[in-house]
Amino acid sequence: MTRQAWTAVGGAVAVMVAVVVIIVLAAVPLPDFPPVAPGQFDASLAYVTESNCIRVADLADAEVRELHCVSDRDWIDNVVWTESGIEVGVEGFQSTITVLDPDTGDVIETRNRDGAYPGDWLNQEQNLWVDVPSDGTVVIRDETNQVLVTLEGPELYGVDAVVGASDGQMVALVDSSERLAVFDRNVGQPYLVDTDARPYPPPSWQP
Amino acid sequence: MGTADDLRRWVEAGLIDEDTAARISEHESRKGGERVGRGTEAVAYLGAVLVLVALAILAAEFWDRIEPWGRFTLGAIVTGVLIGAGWLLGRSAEPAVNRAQAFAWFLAVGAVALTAGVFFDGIVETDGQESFLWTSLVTLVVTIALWLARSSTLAIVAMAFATWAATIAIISRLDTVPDWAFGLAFAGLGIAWLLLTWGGILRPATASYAISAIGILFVAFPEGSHMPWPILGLVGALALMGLSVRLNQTVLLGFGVAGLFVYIPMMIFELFEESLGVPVALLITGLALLGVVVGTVRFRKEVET
Repeated sequence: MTRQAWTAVGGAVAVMVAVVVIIVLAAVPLPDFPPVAPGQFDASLAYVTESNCIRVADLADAEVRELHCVSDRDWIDNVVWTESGIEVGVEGFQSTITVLDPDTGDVIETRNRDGAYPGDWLNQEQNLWVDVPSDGTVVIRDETNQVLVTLEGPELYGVDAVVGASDGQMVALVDSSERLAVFDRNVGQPYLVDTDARPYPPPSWQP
Repeated sequence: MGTADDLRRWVEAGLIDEDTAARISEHESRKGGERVGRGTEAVAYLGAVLVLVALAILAAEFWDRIEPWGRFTLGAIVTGVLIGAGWLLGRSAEPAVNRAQAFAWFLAVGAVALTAGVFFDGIVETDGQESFLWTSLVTLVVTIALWLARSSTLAIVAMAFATWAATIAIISRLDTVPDWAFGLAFAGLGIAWLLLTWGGILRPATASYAISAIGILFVAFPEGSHMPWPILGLVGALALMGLSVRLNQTVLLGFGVAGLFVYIPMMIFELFEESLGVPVALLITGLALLGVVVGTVRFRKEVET
């Protein structure tokens, strides 16, 4: 290689190192969610992962169980935890509703959807709101406009799903980094449950 | 020692650049009479594209019904055929057939990306972002290998696309970085690419300089008209114009002028639209662009001399 070529390689490496350093220095950390501890909460919820599986988080034991996965050619578009099991709406080659046993993951029933939705999917009212007052700031409010939690993250940070439990106390959120976290309305600090959650369909609490 | 060896020695000695060497090589190869005319070549490419589109439509109809390993096998076969065909075509003395090698390998890069995508997404079942990252990295490695085997314009364009895709994949994995990181990374890559072209490492030079310019001008795109990014875009465009004279590269002048046409109106509207109103902002933009045109004519004379 000529001297000019070596100079070019040195210059190119220096430029790329400078770019990496600037980007690393400019990085803003994600909001800190400490891992959920056993006994901290007493509830369970079902949710969908990026890998197209249904998982159940038993918060009392701080455990996550994978119940059931569907083919990557199918799309899970509803999950509702009902008294008869976890009802999963799947769109794909066939359009079905599958009911899963929440403990074993066994398929209790599979039926054609015929335009129907699992459980009371259409009647769910959350009354929880996500505001983004400025880039990277996310505020979750309740039905009275009271702030439940404020999260500060990088510019593109967001919360894509917020679901309140039927007891009115617990709230689950899925953020733009696919993190599933839960918090108590009175405390406001979210605790991490999983790092592979999909915001749509949103998680569903055990009734 | 043949003409090709002479040309290689002259390029390495800095007597002529890669583009000149390619033109001499093409001229010399025509002395014996080119067996395939340009018109025939164009019709052949059109036919090949139509056949490929038809095959793609046919494959798309049953693609979803094939298991991932089946898709992977199909993709691997198509990749192998295209790379093998390119290898055979490259051994011909006929320039038109030789050019077809670059085309076959360009298509092979697409097939590699598809096959790698099926492998990581369907067989290994990594999540979407991770699959995109590994697919782009595998494709990048293949494009580098093909470019090393034959440094054609299509090969370096494929390598540039693979580099950009890998850059997007890496930055997308970092949830914590701001939006402008994409523009900064592309501009950094553009500068690095320009340096490596100037150093004679990346070739052919004209295509490589064009790729550098695109990267540098991309600096402000993720942030749009938000200050100070259009200023950086403007600086990049002016730098390209200055370098066009220094490096005697009209292609850099072209991209520099295109950059001015994008960033000058963007800046003027960002700065003056509210204070002076749209008509005055338009007037200033128009005058500035007229100035760019006059300046470009002078610049071009300098580049050409």
